[in-house]
Amino acid sequence: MLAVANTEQLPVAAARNGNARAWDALFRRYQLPLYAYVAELVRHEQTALDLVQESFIAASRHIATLTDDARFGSWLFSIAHQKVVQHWRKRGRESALFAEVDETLDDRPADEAIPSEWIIRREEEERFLALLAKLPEPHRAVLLLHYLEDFSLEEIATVTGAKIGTIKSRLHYAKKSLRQLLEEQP
Amino acid sequence: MKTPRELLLHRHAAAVPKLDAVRAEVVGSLQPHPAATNWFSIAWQELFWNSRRVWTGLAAVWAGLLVCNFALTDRSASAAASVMAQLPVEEMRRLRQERAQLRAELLGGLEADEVKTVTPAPRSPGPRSDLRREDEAIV
Repeated sequence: MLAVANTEQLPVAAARNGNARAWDALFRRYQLPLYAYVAELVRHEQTALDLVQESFIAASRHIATLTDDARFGSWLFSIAHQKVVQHWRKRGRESALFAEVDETLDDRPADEAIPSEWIIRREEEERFLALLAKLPEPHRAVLLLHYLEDFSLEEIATVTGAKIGTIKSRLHYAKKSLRQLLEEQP
Repeated sequence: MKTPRELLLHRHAAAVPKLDAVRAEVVGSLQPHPAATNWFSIAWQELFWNSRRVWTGLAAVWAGLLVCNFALTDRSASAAASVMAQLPVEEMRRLRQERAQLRAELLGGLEADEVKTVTPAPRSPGPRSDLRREDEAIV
Protein backbone atom coordinates (compact mmCIF):
# COMPACT_ATOMS: atom_id res chain seq x y z
CA MET A 1 0.00 0.00 0.00
CA LEU A 2 1.44 3.35 -1.05
CA ALA A 3 0.32 5.49 1.83
CA VAL A 4 0.58 9.26 1.68
CA ALA A 5 0.58 11.90 4.35
CA ASN A 6 -2.43 14.01 5.09
CA THR A 7 -2.51 17.28 3.16
CA GLU A 8 -2.96 19.33 6.33
CA GLN A 9 0.25 17.92 7.80
CA LEU A 10 2.41 18.97 4.86
CA PRO A 11 5.10 21.52 5.74
CA VAL A 12 4.19 24.08 3.09
CA ALA A 13 4.89 27.06 5.35
CA ALA A 14 8.36 25.76 6.16
CA ALA A 15 9.04 25.16 2.48
CA ARG A 16 7.93 28.71 1.77
CA ASN A 17 10.64 29.83 4.21
CA GLY A 18 13.25 27.94 2.23
CA ASN A 19 13.52 24.85 4.41
CA ALA A 20 15.11 22.12 2.26
CA ARG A 21 13.82 19.31 4.45
CA ALA A 22 10.29 20.63 4.05
CA TRP A 23 10.71 20.64 0.29
CA ASP A 24 12.01 17.10 0.45
CA ALA A 25 8.92 16.00 2.38
CA LEU A 26 6.60 17.76 -0.05
CA PHE A 27 8.27 16.32 -3.12
CA ARG A 28 8.39 12.85 -1.54
CA ARG A 29 4.65 13.04 -0.91
CA TYR A 30 3.75 14.04 -4.47
CA GLN A 31 6.50 12.56 -6.63
CA LEU A 32 4.79 9.30 -7.54
CA PRO A 33 1.22 10.61 -8.17
CA LEU A 34 2.69 13.50 -10.13
CA TYR A 35 4.87 11.17 -12.16
CA ALA A 36 1.92 8.84 -12.77
CA TYR A 37 -0.16 11.76 -14.02
CA VAL A 38 2.53 13.05 -16.35
CA ALA A 39 3.58 9.59 -17.54
CA GLU A 40 0.00 8.60 -18.36
CA LEU A 41 -0.29 11.73 -20.50
CA VAL A 42 3.08 11.84 -22.29
CA ARG A 43 3.67 8.05 -22.36
CA HIS A 44 7.44 8.33 -22.23
CA GLU A 45 9.40 7.51 -19.09
CA GLN A 46 12.36 9.87 -19.52
CA THR A 47 10.15 12.74 -20.68
CA ALA A 48 7.90 12.22 -17.68
CA LEU A 49 10.90 12.26 -15.32
CA ASP A 50 12.19 15.45 -16.94
CA LEU A 51 8.81 17.14 -16.65
CA VAL A 52 8.48 16.13 -12.99
CA GLN A 53 11.92 17.57 -12.31
CA GLU A 54 11.03 20.81 -14.11
CA SER A 55 7.81 20.97 -12.11
CA PHE A 56 9.70 20.57 -8.82
CA ILE A 57 12.16 23.29 -9.77
CA ALA A 58 9.36 25.63 -10.86
CA ALA A 59 7.47 24.95 -7.63
CA SER A 60 10.50 25.76 -5.48
CA ARG A 61 11.07 28.99 -7.40
CA HIS A 62 7.47 30.20 -7.49
CA ILE A 63 6.17 29.10 -4.10
CA ALA A 64 5.40 32.76 -3.39
CA THR A 65 2.54 32.59 -5.91
CA LEU A 66 0.76 29.91 -3.88
CA THR A 67 -1.99 31.75 -2.02
CA ASP A 68 -3.53 28.85 -0.10
CA ASP A 69 -1.17 26.34 1.51
CA ALA A 70 -3.94 23.74 1.65
CA ARG A 71 -4.01 23.79 -2.16
CA PHE A 72 -0.35 22.92 -2.57
CA GLY A 73 -1.20 19.62 -4.27
CA SER A 74 -3.44 21.06 -6.96
CA TRP A 75 -0.98 23.95 -7.41
CA LEU A 76 1.88 21.50 -8.01
CA PHE A 77 -0.25 19.46 -10.43
CA SER A 78 -1.19 22.63 -12.31
CA ILE A 79 2.53 23.36 -12.80
CA ALA A 80 3.06 19.82 -14.10
CA HIS A 81 0.03 20.16 -16.36
CA GLN A 82 1.48 23.33 -17.85
CA LYS A 83 4.79 21.53 -18.41
CA VAL A 84 2.95 18.78 -20.30
CA VAL A 85 1.14 21.35 -22.42
CA GLN A 86 4.45 23.11 -23.16
CA HIS A 87 6.02 19.77 -24.05
CA TRP A 88 3.26 19.03 -26.54
CA ARG A 89 3.42 22.55 -27.89
CA LYS A 90 7.08 22.03 -28.71
CA ARG A 91 6.14 18.90 -30.59
CA GLY A 92 3.32 20.50 -32.52
CA ARG A 93 0.61 18.94 -30.40
CA GLU A 94 -0.62 22.20 -29.00
CA SER A 95 -4.28 21.29 -29.11
CA ALA A 96 -4.00 17.86 -27.50
CA LEU A 97 -5.47 18.87 -24.16
CA PHE A 98 -7.87 21.33 -25.72
CA ALA A 99 -9.09 19.06 -28.48
CA GLU A 100 -12.76 18.99 -29.28
CA VAL A 101 -14.22 15.75 -28.02
CA ASP A 102 -17.71 14.42 -27.87
CA GLU A 103 -19.09 16.15 -24.80
CA THR A 104 -22.83 15.76 -25.05
CA LEU A 105 -23.44 15.03 -21.40
CA ASP A 106 -23.37 18.53 -19.96
CA ASP A 107 -26.88 18.37 -18.57
CA ARG A 108 -26.53 14.98 -16.97
CA PRO A 109 -25.63 14.67 -13.29
CA ALA A 110 -22.02 13.81 -12.57
CA ASP A 111 -21.07 10.49 -11.04
CA GLU A 112 -20.69 11.39 -7.37
CA ALA A 113 -18.92 8.20 -6.33
CA ILE A 114 -15.58 8.84 -4.68
CA PRO A 115 -12.57 7.25 -6.42
CA SER A 116 -11.83 4.75 -3.66
CA GLU A 117 -15.28 3.22 -3.99
CA TRP A 118 -14.52 1.69 -7.35
CA ILE A 119 -12.64 -1.52 -6.75
CA ILE A 120 -11.08 -3.11 -9.78
CA ARG A 121 -10.77 -6.84 -9.82
CA ARG A 122 -7.35 -8.30 -10.41
CA GLU A 123 -8.31 -9.74 -13.79
CA GLU A 124 -9.60 -6.34 -14.89
CA GLU A 125 -6.51 -4.35 -13.96
CA GLU A 126 -4.69 -4.59 -17.27
CA ARG A 127 -7.84 -3.93 -19.21
CA PHE A 128 -8.65 -0.91 -17.05
CA LEU A 129 -5.25 0.62 -17.75
CA ALA A 130 -5.49 -0.16 -21.46
CA LEU A 131 -8.94 1.40 -21.67
CA LEU A 132 -7.77 4.43 -19.72
CA ALA A 133 -5.06 4.91 -22.31
CA LYS A 134 -7.66 4.90 -25.09
CA LEU A 135 -9.61 7.81 -23.63
CA PRO A 136 -9.15 11.23 -25.26
CA GLU A 137 -6.42 13.20 -23.48
CA PRO A 138 -8.70 15.86 -21.94
CA HIS A 139 -10.87 13.14 -20.42
CA ARG A 140 -7.89 11.09 -19.33
CA ALA A 141 -6.33 14.09 -17.60
CA VAL A 142 -9.51 14.81 -15.65
CA LEU A 143 -9.95 11.17 -14.68
CA LEU A 144 -6.32 10.84 -13.56
CA LEU A 145 -6.58 13.90 -11.35
CA HIS A 146 -9.78 12.53 -9.89
CA TYR A 147 -8.36 9.09 -9.20
CA LEU A 148 -4.84 10.01 -8.14
CA GLU A 149 -5.56 12.83 -5.71
CA ASP A 150 -9.33 12.91 -5.40
CA PHE A 151 -9.27 16.57 -6.36
CA SER A 152 -12.54 18.48 -6.31
CA LEU A 153 -14.08 19.68 -9.57
CA GLU A 154 -12.88 23.18 -8.75
CA GLU A 155 -9.33 21.98 -8.19
CA ILE A 156 -9.33 19.95 -11.41
CA ALA A 157 -10.63 23.01 -13.24
CA THR A 158 -7.76 25.03 -11.76
CA VAL A 159 -5.19 22.41 -12.75
CA THR A 160 -6.41 22.01 -16.32
CA GLY A 161 -7.54 25.59 -16.90
CA ALA A 162 -11.02 24.47 -17.99
CA LYS A 163 -14.45 25.49 -16.73
CA ILE A 164 -16.07 23.52 -13.93
CA GLY A 165 -19.00 22.55 -16.18
CA THR A 166 -16.59 21.15 -18.74
CA ILE A 167 -14.73 19.20 -16.05
CA LYS A 168 -17.99 17.80 -14.73
CA SER A 169 -18.96 16.69 -18.19
CA ARG A 170 -15.58 15.16 -18.98
CA LEU A 171 -15.44 13.29 -15.70
CA HIS A 172 -18.89 11.86 -16.18
CA TYR A 173 -18.15 10.90 -19.77
CA ALA A 174 -14.81 9.30 -18.91
CA LYS A 175 -16.19 7.27 -16.02
CA LYS A 176 -19.15 6.11 -18.01
CA SER A 177 -16.97 5.14 -20.98
CA LEU A 178 -14.61 3.18 -18.77
CA ARG A 179 -17.41 1.32 -17.01
CA GLN A 180 -19.14 0.53 -20.28
CA LEU A 181 -15.93 -0.74 -21.87
CA LEU A 182 -15.12 -2.86 -18.85
CA GLU A 183 -18.61 -4.37 -18.85
CA GLU A 184 -18.68 -4.95 -22.59
CA GLN A 185 -15.39 -6.78 -22.88
CA PRO A 186 -15.13 -10.28 -21.43
CA MET B 1 -8.52 -5.92 -5.81
CA LYS B 2 -7.32 -2.34 -6.06
CA THR B 3 -8.73 1.12 -6.36
CA PRO B 4 -7.85 3.03 -9.56
CA ARG B 5 -5.39 5.12 -7.53
CA GLU B 6 -3.58 2.11 -6.15
CA LEU B 7 -3.52 0.55 -9.57
CA LEU B 8 -2.03 3.65 -11.19
CA LEU B 9 0.57 4.15 -8.48
CA HIS B 10 1.51 0.48 -8.57
CA ARG B 11 1.95 0.68 -12.33
CA HIS B 12 4.56 3.42 -11.99
CA ALA B 13 6.15 2.23 -8.74
CA ALA B 14 9.24 1.11 -10.65
CA ALA B 15 10.08 4.77 -11.26
CA VAL B 16 10.40 5.53 -7.53
CA PRO B 17 14.24 5.15 -7.37
CA LYS B 18 14.60 7.54 -10.30
CA LEU B 19 12.14 9.92 -8.72
CA ASP B 20 14.12 9.78 -5.49
CA ALA B 21 17.22 10.77 -7.44
CA VAL B 22 15.34 13.61 -9.14
CA ARG B 23 14.01 14.82 -5.79
CA ALA B 24 17.44 14.68 -4.18
CA GLU B 25 18.93 16.64 -7.06
CA VAL B 26 16.27 19.35 -6.91
CA VAL B 27 16.39 19.63 -3.11
CA GLY B 28 20.19 19.70 -3.23
CA SER B 29 20.15 22.54 -5.71
CA LEU B 30 17.72 24.61 -3.64
CA GLN B 31 19.22 27.92 -2.64
CA PRO B 32 19.32 28.73 1.05
CA HIS B 33 16.69 31.03 2.42
CA PRO B 34 17.26 34.69 1.44
CA ALA B 35 17.57 35.69 5.09
CA ALA B 36 20.62 33.46 5.41
CA THR B 37 22.43 35.09 2.48
CA ASN B 38 23.89 38.55 2.23
CA TRP B 39 22.15 41.45 0.54
CA PHE B 40 24.53 41.43 -2.40
CA SER B 41 23.57 37.94 -3.51
CA ILE B 42 19.87 38.79 -3.08
CA ALA B 43 20.29 41.97 -5.13
CA TRP B 44 22.30 40.09 -7.72
CA GLN B 45 19.60 37.44 -7.98
CA GLU B 46 16.63 39.78 -8.00
CA LEU B 47 17.98 42.68 -10.01
CA PHE B 48 20.36 41.10 -12.44
CA TRP B 49 20.25 37.34 -12.68
CA ASN B 50 16.52 36.99 -13.26
CA SER B 51 16.71 39.48 -16.16
CA ARG B 52 20.20 38.64 -17.35
CA ARG B 53 19.17 38.47 -21.01
CA VAL B 54 17.69 41.95 -20.91
CA TRP B 55 20.75 43.33 -19.15
CA THR B 56 23.05 41.62 -21.64
CA GLY B 57 21.09 43.12 -24.52
CA LEU B 58 21.26 46.59 -22.99
CA ALA B 59 25.00 46.21 -22.41
CA ALA B 60 25.48 45.20 -26.03
CA VAL B 61 23.54 48.26 -27.22
CA TRP B 62 25.60 50.55 -25.00
CA ALA B 63 28.82 48.98 -26.20
CA GLY B 64 27.75 49.56 -29.79
CA LEU B 65 26.91 53.19 -29.06
CA LEU B 66 30.30 53.74 -27.37
CA VAL B 67 32.16 52.21 -30.28
CA CYS B 68 30.29 54.43 -32.74
CA ASN B 69 30.89 57.51 -30.57
CA PHE B 70 34.64 56.88 -30.27
CA ALA B 71 34.96 56.18 -33.97
CA LEU B 72 33.18 59.42 -34.95
CA THR B 73 35.09 61.55 -32.37
CA ASP B 74 38.47 60.28 -33.49
CA ARG B 75 37.62 60.88 -37.12
CA SER B 76 36.50 64.53 -36.60
CA ALA B 77 39.49 65.34 -34.35
CA SER B 78 41.98 63.89 -36.77
CA ALA B 79 40.29 65.72 -39.66
CA ALA B 80 40.60 69.09 -37.84
CA ALA B 81 44.22 68.36 -36.97
CA SER B 82 45.03 67.51 -40.56
CA VAL B 83 43.42 70.79 -41.82
CA MET B 84 45.46 72.82 -39.31
CA ALA B 85 48.61 71.02 -40.26
CA GLN B 86 48.10 71.87 -43.92
CA LEU B 87 48.00 75.70 -43.29
CA PRO B 88 51.31 77.56 -43.78
CA VAL B 89 52.99 79.27 -40.80
CA GLU B 90 52.44 82.80 -42.12
CA GLU B 91 48.77 82.16 -42.65
CA MET B 92 48.47 80.86 -39.09
CA ARG B 93 50.19 83.95 -37.74
CA ARG B 94 47.91 86.24 -39.75
CA LEU B 95 44.82 84.43 -38.46
CA ARG B 96 46.01 84.78 -34.86
CA GLN B 97 46.61 88.48 -35.27
CA GLU B 98 43.18 88.99 -36.78
CA ARG B 99 41.59 87.13 -33.93
CA ALA B 100 43.50 89.15 -31.31
CA GLN B 101 42.56 92.40 -33.03
CA LEU B 102 38.93 91.45 -33.17
CA ARG B 103 38.94 90.57 -29.48
CA ALA B 104 40.55 93.89 -28.56
CA GLU B 105 37.95 95.82 -30.56
CA LEU B 106 35.12 94.00 -28.95
CA LEU B 107 36.45 94.46 -25.40
CA GLY B 108 37.31 98.10 -25.98
CA GLY B 109 33.87 98.83 -27.41
CA LEU B 110 32.23 97.30 -24.39
CA GLU B 111 34.26 99.40 -21.95
CA ALA B 112 33.55 102.61 -23.89
CA ASP B 113 29.86 102.13 -24.14
CA GLU B 114 27.74 103.39 -21.33
CA VAL B 115 24.51 101.71 -21.06
CA LYS B 116 21.76 104.15 -20.33
CA THR B 117 18.61 102.83 -18.91
CA VAL B 118 15.59 105.03 -19.26
CA THR B 119 12.90 104.39 -16.77
CA PRO B 120 9.46 105.81 -17.56
CA ALA B 121 8.10 108.31 -15.11
CA PRO B 122 5.44 106.82 -12.97
CA ARG B 123 1.99 107.95 -13.79
CA SER B 124 -0.17 109.37 -11.07
CA PRO B 125 -2.89 106.97 -10.02
CA GLY B 126 -6.29 107.78 -11.33
CA PRO B 127 -9.10 106.52 -13.47
CA ARG B 128 -8.22 105.24 -16.98
CA SER B 129 -10.76 107.62 -18.49
CA ASP B 130 -8.64 110.58 -17.27
CA LEU B 131 -5.61 109.15 -19.02
CA ARG B 132 -7.57 108.82 -22.27
CA ARG B 133 -8.71 112.43 -21.99
CA GLU B 134 -5.15 113.61 -21.49
CA ASP B 135 -4.09 111.75 -24.61
CA GLU B 136 -6.91 113.33 -26.64
CA ALA B 137 -5.94 116.81 -25.38
CA ILE B 138 -2.36 116.29 -26.52
CA VAL B 139 -3.53 115.31 -30.01
